[in-house]
Amino acid sequence: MKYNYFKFIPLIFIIGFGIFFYFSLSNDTSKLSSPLIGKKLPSFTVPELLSNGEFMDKDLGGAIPVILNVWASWCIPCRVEHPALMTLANMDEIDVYGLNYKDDEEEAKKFIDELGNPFKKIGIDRSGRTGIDLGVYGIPETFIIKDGHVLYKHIGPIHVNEIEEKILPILNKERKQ
Amino acid sequence: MKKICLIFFLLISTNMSIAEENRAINLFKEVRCLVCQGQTIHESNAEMAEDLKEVIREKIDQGQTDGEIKSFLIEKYGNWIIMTPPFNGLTYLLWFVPLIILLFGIYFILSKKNHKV
Amino acid sequence: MSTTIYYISNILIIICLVSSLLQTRYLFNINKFNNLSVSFLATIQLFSILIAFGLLIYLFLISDFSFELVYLNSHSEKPLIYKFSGVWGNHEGSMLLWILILVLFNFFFSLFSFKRKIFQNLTVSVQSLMIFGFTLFILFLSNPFKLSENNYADGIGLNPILQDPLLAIHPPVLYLGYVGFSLVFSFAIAGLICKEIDKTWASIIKPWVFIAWSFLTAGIALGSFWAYYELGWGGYWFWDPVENASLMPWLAATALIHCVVVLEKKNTMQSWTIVLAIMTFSLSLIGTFLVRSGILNSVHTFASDPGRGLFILIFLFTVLFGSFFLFAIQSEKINKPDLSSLVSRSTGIQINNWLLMTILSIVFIGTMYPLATDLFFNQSLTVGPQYYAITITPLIIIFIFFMIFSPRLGWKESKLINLIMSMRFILISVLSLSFIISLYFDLFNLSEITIIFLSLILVFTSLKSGFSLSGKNTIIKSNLGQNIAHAGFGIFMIAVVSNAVYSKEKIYDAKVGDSLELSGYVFNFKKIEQVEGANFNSLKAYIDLEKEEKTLDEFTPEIRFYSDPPTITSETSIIHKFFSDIYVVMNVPQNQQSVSVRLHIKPFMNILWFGVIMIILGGLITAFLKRTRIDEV
Repeated sequence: MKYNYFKFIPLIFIIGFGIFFYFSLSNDTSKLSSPLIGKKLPSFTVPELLSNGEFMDKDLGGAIPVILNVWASWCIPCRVEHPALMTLANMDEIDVYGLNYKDDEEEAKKFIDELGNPFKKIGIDRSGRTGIDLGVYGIPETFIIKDGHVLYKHIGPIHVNEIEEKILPILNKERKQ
Repeated sequence: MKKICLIFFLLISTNMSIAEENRAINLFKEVRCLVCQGQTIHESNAEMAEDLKEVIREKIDQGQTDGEIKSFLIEKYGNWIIMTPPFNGLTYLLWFVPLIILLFGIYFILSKKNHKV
Repeated sequence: MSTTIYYISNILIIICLVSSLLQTRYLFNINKFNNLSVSFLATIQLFSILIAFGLLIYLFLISDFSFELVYLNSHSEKPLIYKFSGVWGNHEGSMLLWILILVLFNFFFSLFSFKRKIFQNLTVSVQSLMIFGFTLFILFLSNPFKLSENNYADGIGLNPILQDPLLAIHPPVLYLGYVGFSLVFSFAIAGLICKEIDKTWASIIKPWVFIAWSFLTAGIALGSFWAYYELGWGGYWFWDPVENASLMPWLAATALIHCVVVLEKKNTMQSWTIVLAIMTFSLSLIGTFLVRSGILNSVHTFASDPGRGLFILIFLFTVLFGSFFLFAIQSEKINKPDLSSLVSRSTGIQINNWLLMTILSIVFIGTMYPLATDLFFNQSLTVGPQYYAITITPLIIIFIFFMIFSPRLGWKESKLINLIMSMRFILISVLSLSFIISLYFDLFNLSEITIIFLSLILVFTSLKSGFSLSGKNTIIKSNLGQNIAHAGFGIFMIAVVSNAVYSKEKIYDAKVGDSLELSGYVFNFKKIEQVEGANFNSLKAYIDLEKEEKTLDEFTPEIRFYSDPPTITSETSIIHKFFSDIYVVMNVPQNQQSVSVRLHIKPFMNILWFGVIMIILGGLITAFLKRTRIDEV
């Protein structure tokens, strides 16, 4: 039997696409990685919420990794996420900083009074401009920062079990180095 | 004479702002609204989209070029935010595959016909 | 009562499963069960699914929330029509509809009597194999008749964006197209197994191909029309992944219908026909896969479940691999040589088919590329409308060029010079017409004016050869359908280009009492008030349209607040004038003082839809017009 082997080429493509689709299926496209990862944190200076001081990128510049959480009182998922942040803040040697995004100051203070304050410092981003510099688009968003560089970004609320699964492994790994 | 100059100046300056507004709108149409998947910020009035529009307007006022504004946005949000894919290592295949298929087709049709004639 | 329906419906699905399995016997050369005729089994297949589907409609109409699907997608206060369309406004129900159409085509095909019984038997076998696969799928992975564990007082409701009369008929029409090509696919596989793909094969399948193609075209057009007035973004096509998923099979199908015509007339292009038949159906499956599995972000995606995606992927892979393997080992035996010369109609058709394939590959790669960069490089990318405009525009120009000339070439050999001479009057008049147009409207650029010029020629030449006036009688030629569809495409292209160039829009932050303006029209914002609808509350604005101090009409854009499920939608208000649509849409208010109102002027929209209707009409005429041979050429 003589075949035209040219005609078998489509089969290779079909197998290729089959494998491609298979992996796309388990790939979550809705969670986007931030291009800021691995880059230097953009510089910013904003007023503080709970004092008259200033909150700036240099506050996050230490060699020990810290957490920066972008939140607002009007954001319902932030409310859901808050206990997880409290848990994180109560752990040893973990500093959590907050950036209050496009919020009313009084509302923000009420939010903190009501649910507790996990943050070492809270900056106010009234205009949302610092948020844009950080590539924020859907709060809550959480960054892990070390030496002024972004290591990791989490979009959406942090679930309690994600602390163990995602956040802590990164923090521990970085601390050992 | 001074008056005429002033009018002339005003005319130019308003014209400039129309040109700038057009530039802004063209840019808005190129920037994806990140919270409303599939729309551009031009089509959306979500708060996020309005903020981005404001940033773009400001940057135009500061005299930045379209390219500079785009690369600012890409730097912050990734290639995803620009509606038209750029032409770089990541997208060579995207732009060239159609051309390759077209050329292959031309070869295919011509060669097949020549056999018979 | 509910439990009875639960058992009956699941038994019905199992009956369909078993009878479909029995139907596949010819594919495996099993000679048992010969006393069960093909049409008898096809009748059982049809009625089991038909009754099951009827039961599902009944459940939605009486709002029986003990069924999970009804609970999730319906609500007792929903208007009757949306209870009805809610049946297929969700994943499970739409899959049942898909199967219903599969068995429907299978049934009709089994009714016809063929000289060569084996053709029919094999086709029904392949078709039943697919029915078997899909029935298995709904039985285990997406069963529409699943009882819910809790007792719910009322349902969640149908997504309000889907509560629309057009969307009630859009899925059935689109599926008639998609699934219609399953029959073409089955027939192609039967032809491959029998190694007989010839003029007879083509003449049997031709009406089916054209009917399926017309439905597919209509389905896409309905979806596009829905997006135009419902989404309120002012456009009718967004190159959204789901839209692309329906466009891809259409492109393949358009190439296929031309191949079938060539095959019927000249007994050549067998490989093309088979490959395109396989591709069209596979692309319909890929479309389903992409939408249902939720791997693409889209405005239209309504259910996503990786388990279902995996099943459809395996199914798709089996169909594609199996049929292309069969094609690879059989194709040498089916091909007949192409005896025509280079300058002939069949070359023209081949060129345009290849252009369609190139456009198809652009749409395919444009849709898939973001997935690939995300998977391999972890980088997200957006492939927006501009990519398609840049890559497809030059191809469309060549495409229309060959659409004008190929039908006027003979099948065997022709002289290009004679052809151009015979068209000289049309060429000269159209050239001067488009010259005047470009002078009058100075906005068109080179590629736009070229498309308009070529499209005008296409419209004139097509209409001229579709009818001929000899004395007092109008003679309708056998290629009437083709000419209407081609003229329709020309009209469509003219409308698309002019619309893109002349669309105007403006966004205002408006207050009551404001007068807004857009290209000569004045929009007087009279009042805004709360209105109560059937199952929603709405904020309705009244805006007068004025031109030259005369009130012409009134716009009533709305923002609707639905509570089941809680959603806000924005309803557009469109005034259709002959040459342009005026289109007003309100955005959801962000503050108390003003609302953001968006005004659009969309020229040539009526003409665009008219072109599409002509294309569909052309397809249907070709499907049903018996060849009353007053031969062309």
